[in-house]
Amino acid sequence: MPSSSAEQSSGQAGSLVDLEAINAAMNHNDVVSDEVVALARMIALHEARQQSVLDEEIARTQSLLDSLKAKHLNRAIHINNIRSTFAPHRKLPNELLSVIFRYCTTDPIGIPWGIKQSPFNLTHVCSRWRHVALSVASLWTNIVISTNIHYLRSLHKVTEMANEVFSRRRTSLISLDLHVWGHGQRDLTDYFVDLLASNANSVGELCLRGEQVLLQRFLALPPGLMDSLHSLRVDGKGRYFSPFSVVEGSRNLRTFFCGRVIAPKPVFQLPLSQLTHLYLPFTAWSTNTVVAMLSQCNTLVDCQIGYRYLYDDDRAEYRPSMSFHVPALKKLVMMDYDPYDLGSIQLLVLPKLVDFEFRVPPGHLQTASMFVPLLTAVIANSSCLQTLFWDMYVLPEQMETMLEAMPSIIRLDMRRGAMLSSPILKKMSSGDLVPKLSSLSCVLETVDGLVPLLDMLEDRRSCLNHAAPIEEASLFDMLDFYHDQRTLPVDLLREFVKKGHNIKFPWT
Amino acid sequence: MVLLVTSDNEQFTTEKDIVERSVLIKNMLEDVGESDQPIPLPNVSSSVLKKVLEYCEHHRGEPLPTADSEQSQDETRKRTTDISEWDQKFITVDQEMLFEIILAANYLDIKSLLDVGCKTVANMIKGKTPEEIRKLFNIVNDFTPEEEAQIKKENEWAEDR
Repeated sequence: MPSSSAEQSSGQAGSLVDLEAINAAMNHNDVVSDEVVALARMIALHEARQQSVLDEEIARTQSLLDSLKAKHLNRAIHINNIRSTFAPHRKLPNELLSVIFRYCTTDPIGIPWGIKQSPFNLTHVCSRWRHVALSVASLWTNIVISTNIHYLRSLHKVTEMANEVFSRRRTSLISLDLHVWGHGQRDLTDYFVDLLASNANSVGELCLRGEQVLLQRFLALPPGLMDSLHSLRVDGKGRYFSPFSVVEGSRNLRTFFCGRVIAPKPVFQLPLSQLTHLYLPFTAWSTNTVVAMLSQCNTLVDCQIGYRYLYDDDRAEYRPSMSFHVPALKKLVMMDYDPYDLGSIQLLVLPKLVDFEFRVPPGHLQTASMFVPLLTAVIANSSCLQTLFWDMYVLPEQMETMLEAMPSIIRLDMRRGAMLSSPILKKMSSGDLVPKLSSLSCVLETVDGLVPLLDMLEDRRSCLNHAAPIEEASLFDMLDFYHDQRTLPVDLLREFVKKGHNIKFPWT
Repeated sequence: MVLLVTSDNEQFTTEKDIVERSVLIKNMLEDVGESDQPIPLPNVSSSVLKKVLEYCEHHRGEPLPTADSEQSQDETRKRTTDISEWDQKFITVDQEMLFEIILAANYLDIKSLLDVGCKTVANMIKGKTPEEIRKLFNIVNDFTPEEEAQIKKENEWAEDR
């Protein structure tokens, strides 16, 4: 290789012999003659000049290539721009674009992190999309502000963004979920209360979660401030003694939720007669107070209430009136934290009740002796009851009384209590009891009890007595009777399932 | 049977209960009564009508959505972008056809097909950055300097939180 390059560069530089000497010298590191060195220097100089020429040529070619690449890019952009004029999306009128945008924003706007999500990113695509997205008020009405005060370094950015979103709602009401947690300075809490107060008329639905100080400050806002509010959920670790002045006299309030209520007075100051949905999962009230409150709720449709008599309220003040009617109530969930206080619950008359749940929380397990069949009266007074979830111990004879009181029942879920006795099952077979029942969940305590139960399911399925077939049955083993699966008549159950019965038995 | 004529003058004969998923055609048939007259569809090409009729045939007999159900769905914020398996397969077409189907569904007043089309486009948009959306639909960034400034400010809201 060295020899060929030296030969190529020879030209007028030296004789063939000299070149051979140079080529030889390129392959070792021995001392070479001055003549050879001089000749080699000449050749190197010549080669360097030739290289410079090539460099210039490369630079010229590179420049030409860059220029061509730039032209290519410009042409590509131009083609793209030309193509964009007939891009398929451009055929869509703004009305259809707004329909698509509504489907893009199924989740609430998160403040402050939601800037990279719809609908904000829709406004960052092009001028037309921005205009359309800003014109659809419903894109801007579902907001979540969730932040830890500790880590929030820039409160003004949160409020600035929130105010901007509020301004985009136009005349629509906002659904706001405000979740602020972490113990911060007092003025930081005020920041969020001020935000709510300054946008009071924009909010239709408010869920407020977090530290008690924030919730108390919000609830203490003056009456009439949030007149547009139709739904309020206050959910925190705190217990509420102070008045809910912010919703006092609220003309549009229909739904109210409060996690823990101690004193009854704040609730009695709510516009109870106009509420349709009321959820108070824990109150420290007596049942007298519960019934007194319910008897004021003329339009109530759906209610959840838990009670345990802790607060020393004036029983006389919250005595139920003569009427115990809650005329519109369709769904009632009661959580009884106090086994000794069923009081005036028995007097409730719920003519439209369809769905009733009565729960006794774990740890408050009641014995049969504690059960006073007062609630049977509630059931008997509710002739359209279709669904009953019952989580309280009852004796078989009490159960029969209850079943007799609900001829329209379709779904029955009895998580606690004695087994359905043979006389009850016979009456169920014939349709004398619960003739419309199609879904049954009940307790199973003995193997002997299984056969009559299965017979009842079979009888109902054959429709001999015009009683509805039980489409689904779930059996519970609350006393862990079947922990030893060898005692199970598994084959019998399988046989019934094969016949087409839909039976669930979780212990297998 | 009903005779439909497309914008490119192609004729389609189809059964009444299939084509009546289009509220526009249903109303036209009710107005005209029993007639052999063809129904002109000047806003729908033959290739698009073929797809629309395929959809209508698959969904024949299903209840038509009422105005009340639509309103309640909107009010309760239960707008989801779920699309059934068959509909997903049906709407797997190129962008041009997708938007043509949306336009045709809107013109013919076939709410369920319009929803499938709009949901599909929404699903294409979801999770993408503005730049990715521009690239996907060949949209030119044409913001004015004022709009650019506002967008810059909006982007700053999420920083340093």
